[in-house]
Amino acid sequence: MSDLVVDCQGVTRVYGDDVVPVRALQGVDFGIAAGEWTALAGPSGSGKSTLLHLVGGLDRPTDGTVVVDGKKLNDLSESQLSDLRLRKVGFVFQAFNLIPVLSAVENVEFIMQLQGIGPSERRERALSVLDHLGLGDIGERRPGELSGGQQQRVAVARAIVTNPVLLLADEPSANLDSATTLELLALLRTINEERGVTIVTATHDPIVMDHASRRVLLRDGRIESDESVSSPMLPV
Amino acid sequence: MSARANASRGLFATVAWRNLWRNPRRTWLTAGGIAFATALVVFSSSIQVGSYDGMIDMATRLVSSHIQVQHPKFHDEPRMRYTVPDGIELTERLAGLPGVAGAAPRAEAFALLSTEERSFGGLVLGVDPDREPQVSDLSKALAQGEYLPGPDDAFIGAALARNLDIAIDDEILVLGTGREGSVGALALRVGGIFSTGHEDTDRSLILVPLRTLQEGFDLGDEVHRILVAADSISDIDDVAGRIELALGEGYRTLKWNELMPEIEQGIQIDWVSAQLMYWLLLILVAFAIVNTLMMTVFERTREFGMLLAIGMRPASIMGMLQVEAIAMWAIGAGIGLAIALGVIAWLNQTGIAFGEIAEGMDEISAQYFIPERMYPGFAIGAIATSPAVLGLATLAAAFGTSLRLRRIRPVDALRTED
Repeated sequence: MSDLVVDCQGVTRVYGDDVVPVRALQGVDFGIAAGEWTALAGPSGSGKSTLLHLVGGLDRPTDGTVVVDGKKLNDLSESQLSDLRLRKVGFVFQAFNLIPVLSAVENVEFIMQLQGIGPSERRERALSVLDHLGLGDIGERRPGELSGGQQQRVAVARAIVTNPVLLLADEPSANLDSATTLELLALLRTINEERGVTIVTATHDPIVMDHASRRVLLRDGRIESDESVSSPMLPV
Repeated sequence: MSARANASRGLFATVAWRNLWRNPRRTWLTAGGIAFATALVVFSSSIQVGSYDGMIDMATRLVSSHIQVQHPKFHDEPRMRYTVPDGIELTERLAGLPGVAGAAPRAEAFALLSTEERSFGGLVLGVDPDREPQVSDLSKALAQGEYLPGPDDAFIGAALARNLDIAIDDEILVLGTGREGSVGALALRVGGIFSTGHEDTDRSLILVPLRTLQEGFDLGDEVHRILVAADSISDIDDVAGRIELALGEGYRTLKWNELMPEIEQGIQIDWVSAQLMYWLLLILVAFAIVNTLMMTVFERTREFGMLLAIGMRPASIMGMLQVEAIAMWAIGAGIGLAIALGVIAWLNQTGIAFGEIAEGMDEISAQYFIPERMYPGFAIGAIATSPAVLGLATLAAAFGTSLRLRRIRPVDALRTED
C-alpha cells in the first residue's frame, strides 16, 4: 500500500443534520496508485465530487480516514490542509476559475507566488509550462479574452506548474465542446504519461471516462464498480 | 512563512489594484465620496481656523489688544486705585521684548459725559496718542475730525456723539471719581469721532490723552493697563510667558482669552458643533465604504473559494482585500486633499470677501468681529485627521467584511453562481 498516492478507508460523508441526514458517501474504501489516471463516474448525487473534495483536502470526512501522499488529512489543521493543497495538489475546476484580472501567465505565476518562489523563476516556469501546453502566444491575455478551451488549458497549466503529486479535475469538460474536450484530454494524457502526474477526474462525460486508465463508478455514495482499462482510448 | 508572505506581496498589490477597476463606476463613486468628505472637512476646518484667527485679531485689535498687564486685582475688581505704577517705563520695557509688535499704557475711568442738554455714562480711556495705534485700531476708525490732535481733545464714539447730540469742536464735560475718591473732572473739545461698526464700543467709549486723564483724575504717573500686541496670534502664549518672566510678581498678565472669554467660548462652541457635523459626514462615508466592500466580498465569493482551494490562506485573502480598500481610500483621500489644499492655498493668498458674498454682511461682520476679508488657514489637525479617520474606517470596514472569509468553505464557495 505504500505506493498509493491516495488511500481512503471507510470514508463517510454526511451532510445536513440528524433529522434529515444526506449520506453523500457511505464507507468508501478506495486507493489510487502513483501515475494512475482515475475517472470517478456516476450520476448526479452519487458522491463523486464529494470524494474528489475529500481527497483534495477541501472537505473533511464525517467518518473514516483519507491519506494523501502519506499524510492523514483527518489530523491536519486548516492551515496544514491549505499548505497541502498548495504544494501537493493541483486543481482544475469545471468553470475554469481563473483570476479575471490577471493575464494567463500571471494566473500561472500566482500559485508559485503563494509558494514563495521568486519573480524571475516563477515567470520562467510559467512561460515554459504555457509554451509546453501550446499556449505560448496567449500568455499576456486575460481570461476574458480567451476561449473556454484556452481558459481550461491555462487552468491545467496553473495546476501542474508546481509539480503536484495529484491533479484533481472536477467535471473539466462540462463547459467545453467535444473537440475542445478531446484537446484537453490529450493534454491530460501527456501530463499523466510524460510527467507521471496522478490524475483523478470526477465526470459523467463518457469521453473523459474513455480516456482514463481506471474507471470507478459510484452510486448512492458507494463504489458500484472499479475497473482498470488496459487500453484507454488514445487522444485524437 | 515570511518568505512566502514577502514573495506574495507584489502580486497582492497587482491583483488588488486591478480589482479596483473591475467595476470602475463603483470605485469612483466610493473614492469620490471619500474625496468629497475629505475635501469638505479639510476645507471647512481651514476656513474655520482662518476665521478664528481673524476674529481674535479683529476683536483684540479693536480695544483690548492681545495681552494686558494689570494690577493683580484690577481685572476682577476694576477700581481706580488698582493701578500699575511706573506705567510709562514698564511700557518701554515690554515694547522691547522679542515677539512684541507694540505696547501702550492706558488709564481709564467711568464717568458722566455731559453737554449742555444731555448726559450719558461712558468709559473714558486715557491713551498715549502715539503708542495707542500699535495696540488697537481705534485710531483707524476715524470717521470725522482728527485723532487726538491736542491735550484737551476727545476722540468719541459715533453713537455716543449722536446720543449726546454733539459734533466736531463741540464741548463735552467729563465728571467722575478720581483715584482717591476726589472728584475727577475734564473739560474737553470733540476733536474726532470714530466709528468701529461695533455698537457697544461706539456707544460707550471716549478717548483722551493719557496725561490729561491722569491729571484730571489724580492718577499721577500711574496707569490701569499696559496693552501689548504680539507679532502674530500664534506668538501670544510665548510673549505672555516672556512678560511674566520680565515683570516678576506684583503684576497680572492676561491674554486675550482671559480678557474676552466670550470670544474663546464662541470659537469653542462653533468648533465643537462643526466637528460634530464633520464626524457625522465621515461616519456616513464610512458606511458607503462598508457597502462597497460588502458588495465586493459577496460578488467574489466564488473567486475566494477558488483561491482557498488552491492553497491561499484566508488571512492572505483578507490582506489582499485590505490592500484593495486602502488603494481606494488613497485615491479618494489624495484627490480630496489635493482639491482642498489647492483651494485653501489660493484663498490663503486672495482671501474671501464676506461683503462681496452677501449684502449687509459688512455690518454683521463688524458686530461679531468677523474680518471683512478672511484668509483660510491650513488646519493641520483636519488635514491629518479626516483622511486618517476615513483610512481607519476603510481598514475597519475591509477587516469586518472580510471576516466572512473565515466562514467560507471552499467547496461551498466554488458552487456559488457568478
